[in-house]
Amino acid sequence: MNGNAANRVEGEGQIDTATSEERVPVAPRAAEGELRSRLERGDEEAYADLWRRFGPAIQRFAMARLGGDSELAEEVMVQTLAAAVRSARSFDPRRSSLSTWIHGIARRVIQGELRTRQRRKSVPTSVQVPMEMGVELAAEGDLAASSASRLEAQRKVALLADELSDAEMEALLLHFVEEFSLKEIAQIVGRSPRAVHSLLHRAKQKARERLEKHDE
Amino acid sequence: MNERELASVLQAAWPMPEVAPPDRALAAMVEAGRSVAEHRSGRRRMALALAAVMGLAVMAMGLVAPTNARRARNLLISAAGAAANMSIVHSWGILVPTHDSAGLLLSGHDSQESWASPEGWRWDICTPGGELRISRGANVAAGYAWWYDAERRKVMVFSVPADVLREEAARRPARSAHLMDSASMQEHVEKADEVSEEEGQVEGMPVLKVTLSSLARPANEDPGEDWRVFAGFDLDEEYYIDPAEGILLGMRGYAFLPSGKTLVWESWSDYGSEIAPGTFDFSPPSGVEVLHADGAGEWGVCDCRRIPWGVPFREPYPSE
Repeated sequence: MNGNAANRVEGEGQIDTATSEERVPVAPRAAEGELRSRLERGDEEAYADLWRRFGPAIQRFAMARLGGDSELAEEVMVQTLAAAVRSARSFDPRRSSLSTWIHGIARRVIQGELRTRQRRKSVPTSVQVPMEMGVELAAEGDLAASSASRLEAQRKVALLADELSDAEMEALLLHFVEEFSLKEIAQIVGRSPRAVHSLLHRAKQKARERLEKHDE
Repeated sequence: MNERELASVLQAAWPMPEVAPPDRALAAMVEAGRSVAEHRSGRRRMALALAAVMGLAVMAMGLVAPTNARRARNLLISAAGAAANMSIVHSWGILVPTHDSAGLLLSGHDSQESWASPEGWRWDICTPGGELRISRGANVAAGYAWWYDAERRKVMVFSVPADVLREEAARRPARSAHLMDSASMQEHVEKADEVSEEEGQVEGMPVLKVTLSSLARPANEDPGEDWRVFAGFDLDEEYYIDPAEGILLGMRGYAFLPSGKTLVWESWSDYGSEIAPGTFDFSPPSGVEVLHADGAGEWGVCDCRRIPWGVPFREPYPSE
């Protein structure tokens, strides 16, 4: 999660099974075990630590998976952190990092939302404004330009969501946005690294083809 | 478009959001922590009370022999393997559906049925409305296996040598869906923290009841995806054995979820049942795309690259 996706893309075709901890040692497993113990004891400062470390990333992951619905994404983040506190006892730092463990929980919460609400794979109505409006806004300053750029990027992602399967979209997001390695993604989605490698390879190929067709 | 540009598009679409103050999240975590503490405290009190009562009873009866957990384990392992080569109609369902506050058990409301005999096997998962959602199975005589996924409107058909299918089908009755074969059961009981045995009744018939008590295993150890997040809670599984035949009749499970709710499910097998003709033939609904994959010499090892959704029957995945 703390790795650099831009560096990783050059290794396409090879299975990258290095964990983020191997790339950037930010949170030793012992510290994660300590955090688990504090969560189990009901230490409220540990709750705040958990939120600081994972709240925004979980919310972003949820937004991406739920078509940009920010309110629902926040709800997913809240549910995920609460579930993590309830299940803290089951986290084993020898088996996974806290980051992959908690993203695994988030994934299940998101899947529950996707199942129950049968959300369409599209950009939500709230951000479906004409591109011309975005361009006009862009002229008004950097913030607007940034919004227009994000809007265009979201439109492209919406095209991908129509073309790719849920599993493929999920793999792309975990890899490029959350910056997990193949091994970490495998832990999160419960597949083998090789299966994730195949899935991601297929997803990238389809995504590139779709976006190139769009740009033509 | 190269990979770097693709990464840029995705990262631009979903920058790190500005999140609201953590009040709601913190309140939810505090509540979750409190609920877990209360739940554990209640379970501990109950266990202590039960232990005290049992201790008194043992002292009163002058018994000193410990529970014969080894015998119970062997009984269950043997019973799980005893039904090989019998036809079976098996059902699985949730008696007391519930889910924790994260709503994570919704898929558990689906109903499941399976059939197995030396002629083949089949496992269907239906929606609560009775619509077929997933079907997996094999027809020994015809030499094929299938995997149907209603959501994807696709069915994958594998050609598998009949002898391989025959061997699998012969073992399948005992391991149908949720009742495991003896090897799997051995692994399962060895993971249990406690194993106990007692006499009981099911629908008025005497049975031997073997109870496995355990802590649901950590997330990454549990291969069952639907159960992946349900780890770290207490789990009791009661297995019912026919004392005359020594075969496993069924089971009932109790999961004491972190939310404080209890999920109850059960799984029953009807041995020697007549299986309706055509059960092991799969006819895809109209409009469903049929895809073919080549079977290899070993069950489950097939050319997974040609399965569009990337899910083979089981590991190992073939090398690419």
